[in-house]
Amino acid sequence: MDGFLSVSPGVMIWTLINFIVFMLVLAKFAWKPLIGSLSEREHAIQDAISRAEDANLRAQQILKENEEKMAKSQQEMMEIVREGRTQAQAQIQKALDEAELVKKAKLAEATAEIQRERDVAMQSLRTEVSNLVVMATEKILKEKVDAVQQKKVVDAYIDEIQKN
Amino acid sequence: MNESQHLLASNEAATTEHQAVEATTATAEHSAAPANEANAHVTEAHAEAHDVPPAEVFTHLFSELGDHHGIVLFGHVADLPLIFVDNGKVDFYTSEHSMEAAGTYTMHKGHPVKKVDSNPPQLDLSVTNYVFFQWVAMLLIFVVMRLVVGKYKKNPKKAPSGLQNAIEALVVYMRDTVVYANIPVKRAADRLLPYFLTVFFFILTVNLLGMVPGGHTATSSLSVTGALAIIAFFVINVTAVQEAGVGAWFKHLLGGAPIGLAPIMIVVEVLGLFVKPFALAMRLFANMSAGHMILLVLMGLIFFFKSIWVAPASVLFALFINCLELLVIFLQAYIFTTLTAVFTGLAIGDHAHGEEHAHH
Repeated sequence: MDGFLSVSPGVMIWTLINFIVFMLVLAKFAWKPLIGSLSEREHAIQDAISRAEDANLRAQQILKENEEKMAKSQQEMMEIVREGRTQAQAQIQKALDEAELVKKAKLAEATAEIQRERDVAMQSLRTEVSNLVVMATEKILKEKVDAVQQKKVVDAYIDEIQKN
Repeated sequence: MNESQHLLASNEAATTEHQAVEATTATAEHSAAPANEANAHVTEAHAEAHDVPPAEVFTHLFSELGDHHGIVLFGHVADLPLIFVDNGKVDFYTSEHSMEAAGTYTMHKGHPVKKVDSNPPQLDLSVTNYVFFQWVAMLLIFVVMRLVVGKYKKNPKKAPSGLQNAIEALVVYMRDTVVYANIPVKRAADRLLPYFLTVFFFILTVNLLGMVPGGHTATSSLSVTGALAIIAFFVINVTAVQEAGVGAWFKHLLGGAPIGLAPIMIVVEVLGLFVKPFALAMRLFANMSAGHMILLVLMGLIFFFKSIWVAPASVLFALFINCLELLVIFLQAYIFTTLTAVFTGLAIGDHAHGEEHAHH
């Protein structure tokens, strides 16, 4: 037990020499390169992180721009479609209106034509009938009647029929 | 651990009952720590065969705790050189044998003394086991650090791996949470970083070597921890003077009290200057000795009671203490380094001049 707590100057001096020499050796051959590499790598990592952050920020910005553009073009597209639709509607309406007009004009024309044709037909029918009647009367009566006089009588007769 | 093996060996010449005990303890040793098989046999050859009565078991065991002039390595007793300085004359002997043969000095109770007047030499610079195991630790750290540095050189800016990773974790932890966190001046912290890293790895490795079979814990010697504390003392105070100035250092001795209290404060603060490193030395020494003493006592109990039935309990407790010791080893290396950093930071105080002042 004696000597357990005692201090030996020899060991102390050895320890001092050991430690100081060792510290100087390690400082030069271990700590300097080690700490140097460490901080170099830390800087590299820090740089990489900040670069990545920058890139991320830029990417985010581009994404936002793109989204904005897309939204804008979507809106534009919708507008174009809407416009197209209204235009088409108007076109159709116009076409329909025109068609209606044409139809009406044609109808009116046709009605007028029919009327005229009917008048002409009626006229010629009247003439024909009167001629037929004259001829028939001439045959039946076998007597020469003044055609003009006859015609007058027949006309009067037809008028009477017409009135009825 | 090998202290108890010494004892095993010294009991070698005793009765058969003793031999039975010895065998059990040898096996016990194996389970307690990954003991070197060779160690168990070889110490027998080394020991002087003498019987120890139960009453003196512990005294005998503790006498093994001090420094020795030889080490047991893989079953061989290696002699360590003895160097004495006396009256300006330096004597160098390669072993105790050659010392005894030369005739000037002789061994008395494990300590070398002069034959003429039985006084120890003025200065005993012998390479004891404590010095030797410091060298082993230094070599180990140097090799490991060179390997790690090589790896950094080989692939810089890559993620660390393996040994490099382990060392880097410790180095970065020391740098960021011990040195930078406690020393407010960046310039001083950078300058002292090599010291703190060295002190941490040195104490850690020296402590760990004490756990290796055949190893000795140099930090369980007050001489070694005292020397480390002396260096810490100079680191603390030189840094304080460099960073805060001589005036501030002296002002610090007042402890911020009014000038009227100076007679008391100066005594207290001057005491404090020395108590801090003294506490560092005592703490490390006591912690590192305690574990070994408990292990010795646990093993000694077997011989004290001269009963094999004590062995299981002893071994079980020894295993527990070994695990605890492993924790204490890391803890004490960390505490010594951290406290030195804290004391340095306190000594600098907020008197730091230069670039740091701009921030205040």
